[in-house]
Amino acid sequence: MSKNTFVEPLPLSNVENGMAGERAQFLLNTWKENRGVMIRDSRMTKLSPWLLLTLPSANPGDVPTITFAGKETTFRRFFPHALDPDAQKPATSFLPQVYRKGVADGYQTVFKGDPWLDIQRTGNRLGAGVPDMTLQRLLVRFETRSGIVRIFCLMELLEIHERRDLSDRTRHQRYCRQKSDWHPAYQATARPSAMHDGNIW
Amino acid sequence: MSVQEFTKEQLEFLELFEIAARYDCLYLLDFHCFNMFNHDQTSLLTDTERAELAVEARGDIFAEAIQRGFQPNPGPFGQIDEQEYLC
Repeated sequence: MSKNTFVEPLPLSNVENGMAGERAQFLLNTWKENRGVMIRDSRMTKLSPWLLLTLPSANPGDVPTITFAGKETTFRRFFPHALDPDAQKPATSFLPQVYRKGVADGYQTVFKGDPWLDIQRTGNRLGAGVPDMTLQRLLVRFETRSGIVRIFCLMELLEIHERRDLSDRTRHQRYCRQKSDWHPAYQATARPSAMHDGNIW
Repeated sequence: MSVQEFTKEQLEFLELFEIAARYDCLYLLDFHCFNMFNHDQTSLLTDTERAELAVEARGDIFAEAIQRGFQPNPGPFGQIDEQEYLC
């Protein structure tokens, strides 16, 4: 990670070669095969518990309005009341501004049509009660034939760090991968597909 | 069946399904159904479950439809507030 941000863009080749996990690979492959057109597909429906959908626009330095959050998303897990029908404020306002600002650039890219992949080390930016995590995020833009656009966000939780571990790098050595083609940002993380018990979608 | 033979909840779900189909976003209904009931077969849902699905999905589906010119039909049970459907 660079010194100035907690978000590190990653090459999409990580998704194409499977390094970013099978769900990300499926999402990007579907986007490519359909040329960004969203078609009803039971496989995409089965992926939906891990997807966040948003509107295709946002103010500079902010994230777009969330329209759907799958039940397995980190957003649902750590902000379970954000999408309650009786919530008194927008779901995205549950995310601290410092986090929203830090992850906003990826959305500006995907609004224009290009997919985006990054890795994040959240630290304390998601607020009290939310752990320090390493997250991998893939964003793609889908449009229906009638022109309805949604941004699909697949956020994979790679690791939850104990707060006291922030200065103790040695405790994470067991997760390090020795393959030379792994991005440095992955080196303290588990591979996305290794976080789950098989292919459950 | 005539409109009078449907319950309010049944009519609301039918309207939501029709709008999702018209604006090509049935996939959103599939997503919501799968997340709530672990399958996407709305025909297998009870009326109560369909009503729950309609509550969950309507904001998502109607927001786009209204922006694209859809005018909510007040229907036989009174006026529908457009703002109710906006996220």
